[in-house]
Amino acid sequence: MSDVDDKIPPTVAEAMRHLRPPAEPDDEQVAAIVGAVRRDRRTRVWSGVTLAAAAALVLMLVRPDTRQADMPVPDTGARSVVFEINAPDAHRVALVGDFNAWDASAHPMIASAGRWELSVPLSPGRYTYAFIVDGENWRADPAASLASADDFSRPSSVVVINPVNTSMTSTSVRQ
Amino acid sequence: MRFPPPLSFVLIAALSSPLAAQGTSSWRPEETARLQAVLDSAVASSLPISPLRFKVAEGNVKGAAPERVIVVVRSLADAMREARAILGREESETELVSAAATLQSGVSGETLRSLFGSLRIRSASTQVFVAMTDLTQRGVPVSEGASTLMQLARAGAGAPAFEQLRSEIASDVSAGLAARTAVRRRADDYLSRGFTPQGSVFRSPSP
Repeated sequence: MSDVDDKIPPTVAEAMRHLRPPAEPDDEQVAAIVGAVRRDRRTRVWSGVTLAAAAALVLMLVRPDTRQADMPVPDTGARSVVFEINAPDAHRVALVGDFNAWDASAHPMIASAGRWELSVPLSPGRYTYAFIVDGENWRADPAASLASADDFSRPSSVVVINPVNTSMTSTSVRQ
Repeated sequence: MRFPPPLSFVLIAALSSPLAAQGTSSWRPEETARLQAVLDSAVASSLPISPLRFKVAEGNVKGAAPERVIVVVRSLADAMREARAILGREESETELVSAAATLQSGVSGETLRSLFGSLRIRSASTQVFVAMTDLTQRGVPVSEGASTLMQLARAGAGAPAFEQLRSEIASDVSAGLAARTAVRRRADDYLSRGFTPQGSVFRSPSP
């Protein structure tokens, strides 16, 4: 990252340092991040930085083994979606995608008898995502839609979350 | 034309977010400027900016070279422009991005237009685009996949049916069946069963 900082104008780099959350924030850092992030309702959900901060806050507040499949978030129309993958030999699996700015520290998955899963609240929309196994092996979701032409030589999948008032959600993941 | 400050911050944040240090590349100022120009042009075209920002973040984390990221983002923006011209400006962001992905998977604009036009249930557009992209990525020839999906669409298939088709084909392929065979079998089954007014497949063959 220092190379990027060195190549960016000082004022922008300074703003970036304030906006950028650390990989594994503690309580104090989370509070500072949340307080520093502008509450722009229009961009809040989609800002990569805000997503990372929100994801970090969620990690701090929500127990990793909490199952939220039956608890939709009413205000935003978000649905809790359970992502899962079979990786019995893995030591750690991270869920990355558009919903967490591809931050591998935002959504560590939970192991259960060789399968890894995680419930994530997602607002209606289309998301590209993937799993990172043991920090280096990228895997698409074998049961999900394949993302179009792998742009970056790493596999990805697609999930579409329909609005709450429609009867079907285009996704292979459990809800 | 300068990039608006909030978008600049987002751009820089997208480029520099830690993202578990998955091989992120450093960006030279001229590369950042070129990416900003692509995003600036997208804004001027009233394209949704979020999908482009997501793509920047994705490329950065996947360790792609800046030049590659710029090419991919520009390609996505161009695909969204073409998709919008086909769908019209009433499309949702999800529909637009799904259509753009279909174009990027190798489906021509003409085929996309035909696919879209065959839908009896307009709300199924996103799911049919997702299904089309999925079939293409699984090696089903574009003409064959499009023909099958259009046949289903004209028969009344809606979002639930297309999602069911995509899901069952994924299962069939996982079980070892060739994608082309799976598509034909499932489609024939659905056509024999018919569709509800909401576009779901009837559970039993229609009388």
